[in-house]
Amino acid sequence: MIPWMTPMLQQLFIESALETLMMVSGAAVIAIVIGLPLAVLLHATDRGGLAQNGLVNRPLGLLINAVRSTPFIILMVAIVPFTRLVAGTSIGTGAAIVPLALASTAFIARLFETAFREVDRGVVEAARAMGSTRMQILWKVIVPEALPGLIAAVTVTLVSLVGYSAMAGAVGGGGLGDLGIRFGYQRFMPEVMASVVIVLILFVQGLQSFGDWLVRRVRRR
Amino acid sequence: MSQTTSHRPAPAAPDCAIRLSGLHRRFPGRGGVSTKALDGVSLDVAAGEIFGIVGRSGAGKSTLIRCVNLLERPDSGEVFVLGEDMLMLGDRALRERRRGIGMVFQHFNLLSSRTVADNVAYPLEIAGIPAAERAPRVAEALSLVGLSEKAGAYPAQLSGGQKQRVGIARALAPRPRILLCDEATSALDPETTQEILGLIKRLRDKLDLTVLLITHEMAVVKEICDQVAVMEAGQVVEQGRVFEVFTRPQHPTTRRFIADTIGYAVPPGTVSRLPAARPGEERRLLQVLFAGPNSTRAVISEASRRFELDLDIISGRIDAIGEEPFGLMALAAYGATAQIDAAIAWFGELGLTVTPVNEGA
Repeated sequence: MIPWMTPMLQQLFIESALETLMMVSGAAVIAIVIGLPLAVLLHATDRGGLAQNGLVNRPLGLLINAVRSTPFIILMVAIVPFTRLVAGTSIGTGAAIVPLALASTAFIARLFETAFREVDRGVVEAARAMGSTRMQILWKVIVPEALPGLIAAVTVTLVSLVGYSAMAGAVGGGGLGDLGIRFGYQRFMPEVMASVVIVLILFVQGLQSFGDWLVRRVRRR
Repeated sequence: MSQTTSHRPAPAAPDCAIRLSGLHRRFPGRGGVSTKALDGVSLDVAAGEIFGIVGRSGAGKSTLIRCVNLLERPDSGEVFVLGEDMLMLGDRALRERRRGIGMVFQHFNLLSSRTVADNVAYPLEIAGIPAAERAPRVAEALSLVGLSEKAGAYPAQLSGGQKQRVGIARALAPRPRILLCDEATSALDPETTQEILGLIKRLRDKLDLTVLLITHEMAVVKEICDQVAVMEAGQVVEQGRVFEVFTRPQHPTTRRFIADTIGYAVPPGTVSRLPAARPGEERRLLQVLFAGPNSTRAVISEASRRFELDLDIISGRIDAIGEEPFGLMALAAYGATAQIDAAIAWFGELGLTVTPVNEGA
């Protein structure tokens, strides 16, 4: 399959790719599931929002900013006790998903919030004038109108997750990034490094193109 | 809201669709200075009428129309819609009443993610009407605005005029008795504006709607309104039947609006070609608006004889507001200053409106 690698290395390569896939998809699913309600909460409690509430909005915003401003490699180590609580262990691919999910939840919550903010205020006003409840405005107006922005946010998050997952090697998470460091760099095997980089480039390109295609399909303007 | 229940006046008369009284609304501004968007506005809109509120941007008309369905809550004052005190309603009851008040917007405010039919279905959907009943009502609303063939299109595929038709269909789908139009034609070209105004008027007649519209264009008022209120700095400065207000404007703001719309009667460049006044006499340019019973009298020649003036007719035209015609004429009056003043006073007694014309015009 990859002629310049030994069968053992090839095996390792495939395993690493699967680990990356697992970390990225696992963290992304958690980030979307938790990030969407967080973004809704952020947007609704913001000034001029559907349920303006500074006491919820400000601490939540601060928390999200705190997570986002902590360098990922430090975040990963800093939350080891939490990781152990959730995953039962602090090392391995499964354990690496915990900090990845945490970082990308904060990231995607902000991106989702931005997508909500871009929904035309006039449309929301029209919905109010027609007698919509707040829940109807949220789920029938804001979320569907923001859908292209939400999809774009997921794409951006997936791409940056691929980058973050390379650091997961520090806690034994494995993945392609880790393989590149251990073999390509530490064992002086540039062909391994090059293969890792090429596969990652192709992967990210594929994600981005798919995301863009989906946005175009959903956007009706 | 200092009023207590015991001080409330009797509810509006049944033929009064919208009654606003003593509305005040302030918005906090920069540096602690608040602006008065509404400064004691009272209006009665009779059922079946098209009532126009005209004013420049910032005059408070947008805040005023939003007070009718309480998108904006007044700081004080009263809002009665169809005899019901809107400010006394709870959240749920208010949402119910809003479904009976259609609203059309300057920028259409359609859901870009829904088709035309689904946009029109939205107000029915949120009111809990089952899908099977929605379909015929959507079809009915779309046929009212003549857009049945665009049911499956998305708003982005439509022209401005078509989008506004969808906006109107959406507003009418729940079968409201009141339609609020917030600068509904301001984003449209003149031809499309005529089309939409014609549609609103036809729909009013057909569905027996009461229409309250705000606009910054007096031409819109002239085209379709029965009544007009002119707003400036949060107050209504003039109000009345459109024909009366157009032919006998009292307030300077109203005069300016009307001048912009029906225009001065003096074609550009004519003034420089007029002969100069004889020594000891004066030349004065006048704009005379003829309306009402004296509009058929031979007032020009009579004035010429009575006041020993030479009256030169520079231009004239006949226009109409609704079905009522009026004449607009520009005169150059030559004669003694006192005689010209006397003639102007005499015109006034006959009920004609005389406005001096700027020589530079």
